[in-house]
Amino acid sequence: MEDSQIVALFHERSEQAIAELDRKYGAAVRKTAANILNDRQDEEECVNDTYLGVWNSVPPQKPDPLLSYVCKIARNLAVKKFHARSAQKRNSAYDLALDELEECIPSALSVEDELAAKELSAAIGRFLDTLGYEDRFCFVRRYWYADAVSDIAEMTHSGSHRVSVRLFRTREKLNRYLKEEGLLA
Amino acid sequence: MKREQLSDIIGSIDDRQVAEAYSYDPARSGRSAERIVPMKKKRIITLALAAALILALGVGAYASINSRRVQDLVLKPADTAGQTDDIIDIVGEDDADIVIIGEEEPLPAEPESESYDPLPGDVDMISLQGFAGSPEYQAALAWAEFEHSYDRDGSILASVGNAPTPWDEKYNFNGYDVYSQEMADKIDEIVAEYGLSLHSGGINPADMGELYERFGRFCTTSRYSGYFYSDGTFQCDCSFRDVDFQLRRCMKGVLDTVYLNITDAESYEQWEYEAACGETVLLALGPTKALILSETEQSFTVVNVLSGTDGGLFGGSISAAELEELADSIDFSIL
Repeated sequence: MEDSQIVALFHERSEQAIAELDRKYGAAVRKTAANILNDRQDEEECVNDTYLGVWNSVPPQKPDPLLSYVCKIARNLAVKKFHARSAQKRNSAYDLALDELEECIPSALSVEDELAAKELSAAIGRFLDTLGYEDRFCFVRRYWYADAVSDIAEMTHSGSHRVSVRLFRTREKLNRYLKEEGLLA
Repeated sequence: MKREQLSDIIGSIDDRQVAEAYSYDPARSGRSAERIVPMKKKRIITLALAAALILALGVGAYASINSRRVQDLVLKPADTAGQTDDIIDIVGEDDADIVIIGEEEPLPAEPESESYDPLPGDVDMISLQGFAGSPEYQAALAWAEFEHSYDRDGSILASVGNAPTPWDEKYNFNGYDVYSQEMADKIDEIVAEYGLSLHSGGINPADMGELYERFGRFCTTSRYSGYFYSDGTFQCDCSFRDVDFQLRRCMKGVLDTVYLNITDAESYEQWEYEAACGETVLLALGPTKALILSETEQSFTVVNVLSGTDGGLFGGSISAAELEELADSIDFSIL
């Protein structure tokens, strides 16, 4: 079913909308949640909450593309749940991804207000646009979708080590870019 | 900044970037020169013989582009079930790869590993560092043969994992895939044997201007994406009107491990052309890709045009006349 048809079902308040959404993007939603949470029960809650979130926001929203809209909700919910339990030991795969990111966006950076955070996010978006497709793909998969390096290697028909090196280079470039943009000291 | 904020900042990138990364599109990377495509054994007797003949005749490292054909660079795999296998292996870095040939005894069934995926279907690969017979080619062959036979089950690579290694600085950050001391020793041995050096000082320039400043104004594009090494080897993504292309210059005297999938060399119309800069280049125009090859005493350059007569990955089609115009827009004399 086309995205627009699924969105139309939500606008009609048809329960079929959830079923169609799950059929089309359920795997993506589950993978997004699983990458961050790594706990089956939490994942399932996150998936259900995601569908509820879409139900509550569409209408009035008419998301396009639907995929990234749904995955963003799933990611936000998963991240919230992740940090809520982060008092636990810090050794998850998502922690590793955040550790990597902190190499290029130091935790010492002060982002006290929402505006500064938005500017930083926008700068990262602009930086991603300067990258070649493969570098951008690997970066987004690793730090947005929180995929394991080995999963990205499989997707790109590459080796884990090479993906790791590629990500390392991209992080270095991002760090340099943010400094040039005046966002990092 | 708290880690929660870091999560939120990354989580707020543009929707289209998130959507783009939902699934991998090999046509946007690997089908050009942007991908590592390790391959399994393939049959390439014709080319192996050709390479052997070239070696036997003692052809020097420098051969002008005159009378050359794209086929002179191709390693064509063929179905050889039950026969002695030749090797076509690709040693890649982040952006493009190299093809190597050779022969070895039939190998037992091997487990799949992440590092070595079979190449789907029959495709032609061309080396980007020079024609068969050159020291650069032979060295790349030796490395690929080693890499092909090394760590077949991926267990050594698995043990290395995602952690930094002692070999990153010297090798991996400069386009070589090295993850053990044994590999480091081997690659050092190869460059010594063939009188070559390794890439070093890999740099991602801030913009195209930095490349021009370093290597001269070799083309007119202002788009940026590329990298270079201190020896002068570089690669960049460029555009000409609505056609995208990648230009890679490989310096001679350096081990470079890069090559390109061109699908089927026989589908390319080829002709020599004297570009506006005065250099004679080889033009090859295929259905979905075109090539411009140039060779000088110091370097070998391949322009990988991401459009052909039937269209392209991102742009429209390109005609023979337009390919010549594109060649005219590049100053091969300074490459």
